[in-house]
Amino acid sequence: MAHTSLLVGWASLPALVYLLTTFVAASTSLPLAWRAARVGTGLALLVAWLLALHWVLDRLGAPVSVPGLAPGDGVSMVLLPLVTTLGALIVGFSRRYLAGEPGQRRYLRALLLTLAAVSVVVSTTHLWLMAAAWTATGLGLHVLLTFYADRPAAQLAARKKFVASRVADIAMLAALALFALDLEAPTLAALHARLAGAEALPWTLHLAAALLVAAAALRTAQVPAHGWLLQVMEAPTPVSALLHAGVVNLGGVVLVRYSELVSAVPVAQVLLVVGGVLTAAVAGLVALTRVSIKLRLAWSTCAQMGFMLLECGLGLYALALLHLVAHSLYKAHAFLTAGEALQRTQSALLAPSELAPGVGAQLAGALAGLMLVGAVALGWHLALPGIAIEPLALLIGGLALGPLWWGAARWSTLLMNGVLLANLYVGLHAGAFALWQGHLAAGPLQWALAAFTAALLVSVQALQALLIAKPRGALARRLFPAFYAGWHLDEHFTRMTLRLWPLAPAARA
Amino acid sequence: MNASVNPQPLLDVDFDAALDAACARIAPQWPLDSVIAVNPFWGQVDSPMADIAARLGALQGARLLAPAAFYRDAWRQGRVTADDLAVACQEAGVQASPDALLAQLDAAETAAAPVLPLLSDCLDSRDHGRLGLRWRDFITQALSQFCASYFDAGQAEWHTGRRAGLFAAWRIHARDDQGPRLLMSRPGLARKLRGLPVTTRDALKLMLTALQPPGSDTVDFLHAHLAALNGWAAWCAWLRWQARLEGRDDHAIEDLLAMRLAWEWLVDNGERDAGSPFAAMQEAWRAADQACAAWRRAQQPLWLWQRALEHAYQRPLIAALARPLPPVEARPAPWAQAVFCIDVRSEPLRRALESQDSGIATHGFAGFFGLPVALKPLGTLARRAQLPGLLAPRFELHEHGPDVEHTLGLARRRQRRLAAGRDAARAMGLPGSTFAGVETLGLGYLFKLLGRALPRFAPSAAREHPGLTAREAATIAPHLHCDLASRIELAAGALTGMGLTGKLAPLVLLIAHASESANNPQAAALDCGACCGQSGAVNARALAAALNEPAVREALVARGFEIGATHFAAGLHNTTTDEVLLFEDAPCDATTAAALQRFAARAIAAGDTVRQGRAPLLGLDAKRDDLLAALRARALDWSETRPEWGLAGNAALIFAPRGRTRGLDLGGRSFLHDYDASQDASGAVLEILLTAPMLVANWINLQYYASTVDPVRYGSGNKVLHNVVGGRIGVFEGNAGDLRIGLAWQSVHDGEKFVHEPVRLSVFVEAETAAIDQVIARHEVVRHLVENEWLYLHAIEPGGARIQRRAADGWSTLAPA
Repeated sequence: MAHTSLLVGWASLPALVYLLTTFVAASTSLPLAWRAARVGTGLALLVAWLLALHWVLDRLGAPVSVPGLAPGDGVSMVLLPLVTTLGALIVGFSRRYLAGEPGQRRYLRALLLTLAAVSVVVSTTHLWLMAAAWTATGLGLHVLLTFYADRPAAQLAARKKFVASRVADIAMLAALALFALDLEAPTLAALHARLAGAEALPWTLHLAAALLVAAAALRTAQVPAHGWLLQVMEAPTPVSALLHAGVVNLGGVVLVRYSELVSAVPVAQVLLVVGGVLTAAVAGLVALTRVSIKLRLAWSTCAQMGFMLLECGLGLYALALLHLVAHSLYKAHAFLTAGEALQRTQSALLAPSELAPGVGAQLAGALAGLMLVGAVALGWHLALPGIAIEPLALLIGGLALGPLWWGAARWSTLLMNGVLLANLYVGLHAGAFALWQGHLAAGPLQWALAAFTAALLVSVQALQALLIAKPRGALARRLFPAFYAGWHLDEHFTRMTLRLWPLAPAARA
Repeated sequence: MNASVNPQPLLDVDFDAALDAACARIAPQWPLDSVIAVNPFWGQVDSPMADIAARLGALQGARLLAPAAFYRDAWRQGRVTADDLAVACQEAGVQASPDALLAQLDAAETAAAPVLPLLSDCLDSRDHGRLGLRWRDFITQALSQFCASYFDAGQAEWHTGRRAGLFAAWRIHARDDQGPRLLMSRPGLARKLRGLPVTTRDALKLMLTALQPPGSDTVDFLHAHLAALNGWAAWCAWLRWQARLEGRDDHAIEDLLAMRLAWEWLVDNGERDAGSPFAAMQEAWRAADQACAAWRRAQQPLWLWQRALEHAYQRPLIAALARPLPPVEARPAPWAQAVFCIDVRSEPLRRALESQDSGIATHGFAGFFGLPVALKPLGTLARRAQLPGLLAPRFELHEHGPDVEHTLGLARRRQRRLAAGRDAARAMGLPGSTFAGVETLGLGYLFKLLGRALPRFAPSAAREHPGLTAREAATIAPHLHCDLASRIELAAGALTGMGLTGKLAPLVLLIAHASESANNPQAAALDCGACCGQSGAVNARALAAALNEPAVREALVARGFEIGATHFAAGLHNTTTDEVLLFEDAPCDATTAAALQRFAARAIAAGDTVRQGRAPLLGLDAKRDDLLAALRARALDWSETRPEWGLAGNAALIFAPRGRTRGLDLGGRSFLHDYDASQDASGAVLEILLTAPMLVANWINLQYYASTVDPVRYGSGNKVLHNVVGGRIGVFEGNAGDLRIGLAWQSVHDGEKFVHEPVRLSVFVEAETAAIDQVIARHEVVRHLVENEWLYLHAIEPGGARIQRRAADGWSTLAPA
């Protein structure tokens, strides 16, 4: 794949469209500004999808060639359509949603600039530009989060995020400085060339990778710096949707870009795996105790980001990318339709109540799921011998099918659903691996990490089984206070933030 | 150090009375799926409104009057004239020129309510906390989160223990809470908790003794603590309300009060000297009565202006109503009689229908059509109240299709679908399956997102029948589930209440109403308040089915109702798009079918007129051709925060024959209920009207009033920040804070100005003053509402032109002047 040094050619177009739209929107009346924003985001969306189409056709060997248009880079061709689609949806949603609110113009400017910055992050291969754009998304988001600047909770959340982002910036700057010591040019191509050599990596690159991981972890709200993500509900719903669907996963995007480096540095992998799986486990369990819909979704994002970082640490970059895109769409829908939480609850309460499945039943269900997924994977492997399926993914998928068997429907329906889901799961994974041959290096460290991950996820599954079987049991009651309080991790971060940057007396409502 | 005052032991009987009185002052808040408008001051109507305004200002910082700028704007825009001010001055016994009154407005603007501080507030003002967090915010947050977890029945899968009651559960939870240590730098509070008695009442007594509220009246002190958490207090008040309707009682509100007081007791650091927060609190509360009285005096000018504002609304209405009625026989017999709900949104449609076709007569009746029922949706175990929140259901409505097999099959299918939906949603949330679930199904959400964003593909709101497709739902109909005798009684009562005792038209339509909106947690607030926040369609259909039943009709004819061959049909008025849907539940002959079609055509034309009238307020161009399509798109738009204005603007309630109000343009601001005094010799119907629909209208009116003048305490804040709590309990504004009660900002404000004018309800009853006085004497709550100025009650001379107003000191004639 040919990489140009600054931007990947035409992939920078959406960012330029956003910048132009920002300019237009800033200088006209409010209704025209919204119209300009909708047209601009629509145009960016069209451009991104056309570029992606061109890339797909080119990969498939079709003789399309637009003179001067180099087929872009795979990662940006997947992510640009996602970002532009989300941008168009959120602008369209915000137009009616924020009708009558003060500060819409500031909101539009910040939103469009943030979208421009996100487009740059996902499409550029220049390391400094990527880092700068990443910081710019944080700054744009800060403006969006303080849409209601007089709400003290919004101020506190924005400050916590500011602190986390600045520490991430420092880590990123340090990493870039370390790269500058070793690479010929601050581009991904130079990094690729450096890593292609056979000699061992200097400690500076190991440290740089670790700093990169730290920056990604802070920006994806990994525990214990997760508090800011949970408290951004003080901003309008579309801002939460943008944050959870488009911005918080940029950490994963950056790691996917740096995948060669991360795969070569064991420290980075260990940090990612241990941090990611612990966050996924803790946040996943805490989410069960949340009583408001938006906080439930926020903790779920935290857990999903942990899982994504875990996949990066295990070398499964294709799956991390798949997870990133799938999660974006899922979360955007969940946040934008958060007002229907009531309807969903009503439907659930109308459903006939049933006994909670016992631990034995859940174990049987999990085993059945594992067998089904295994069988399906075997089928795919026999049908298409080039397919590589990760055994850990099969474990996760199989366990995930467990709840399928708790339903009271007919066996045939359940089995059919199971087969469908298993095929979809395995198929998506196979597709992801086919598109990205990745850097799967299997050594003793990878096996150890995979085993650790498997052990932790299985324990979470077991704990979940006990909680479902006996929601009022002794274990549930013992563990509830800690999980309900989010292990008090966020309180420490809040305390630190307020010590550094106390709230003004007038800001306390 | 001054010697502390000897704490006087509280007498049990005084304490119990004070506790009950304080808890009774909090008005309930219904859950989100059946949210109805409630008068937030319902527990305090036994005092004059001005007194309550002063008291709540002192206890909570609440406002019951609009800001001075609002009245000034009304004066500048000419909505309030010198005449109105003169009348207000005369009633108050004050002499002042408009200029003097304007000057008094300016003075009143800068005055601030003398809020009586709680102990934690005094601590805050002295200490400022090391991290800048206030005790009040911290305590509200902690208690709110706990209550949400305790009462949640629909969101979380993992809950706190609930066996021993709210207070007991909180004691256990608070022991492990690290929040005070980490965020407020106060370790050791958990140890202090062990010193509290286990039962709520004992704990309350201990805490009151320790905090020693000055004065013998502890009710205000307790009320102030409940008001500090007024959202959850309102929820607990609802729990008690529901329990008492069912014949039991609920003590969650007392537990909540104990929890709030416990925090005060916990943060008390024992200092008792002259400069301590404790002394500051005592001093403030000792001067409570004077502060309250001073505030009452300071608010006097604003009350004058409020009266002037209300008079400005009443003046043209009284002039329009004060004319003799034309004789009844002068009108030809109608070919259709349509009974609508008294909701203010029915008024424009009724007016338009009558102007379309003089052969259509419309009537107004409470939207539950006199059926005190609860609906049991097909295939579920749920019971959904379909009557005003003030009442308890006595019968049930069951849904079934043309035959038993069909019904049972549909029920089974629905159960399977609902269970599958619930299981799928749960599976996506469990940590063991959420990661793989999102990876597998996440990409499909792209289509869901696109479907929502493009209105053509947007799913229609299936709120009415989750688990059933629209076609399946059309095959089942609700029926009264009771024996024939009860059905006859209910039908007779409904016909009498609706005033349909004379010769009926060949077609009688019962038209209920419902709203349509998407992605709106407070959708129930836009539906029929008389049906407890639901659509009234099932009531209308059930009543129409009963009235079409041959056995019931025979019995009714035997009782003297002139039914003849009248066909009863049910309809639904969609208040968002102003369309009328007619249900085809019963087979009918060709003439009836033709009549129904004719009515439907009239309804379409009338709907056009109404839509054009509503368009400006919704920001749409009234002259566009596709207005209906635009409104339909608005109803399905997932990003629309103002699908319709609901009952904003409500200001009057008229109990009179239609002849009194026919043709009058009441601006969609008036509740209209049919009442004919000549048919009601005993006054029984009048009694029901003044004790049921009038209370419902008062609740709606004061809910909109309070949400407009004090959106912070009595409004639920900005919809853009709403966060549904507990699946169906209510909303938070933002992350957390207290539960929010009342209407959202977007329900009363359009971004530039208030759409609801905060005026108290003007009730007009066409009946003899003696009859009205009888009802007032027999029902204390009506007397309180009238004499304490929570609404205005006027009497119209039956058939004549004289209008009198009932105040605390009796009747006074307003027209003819």
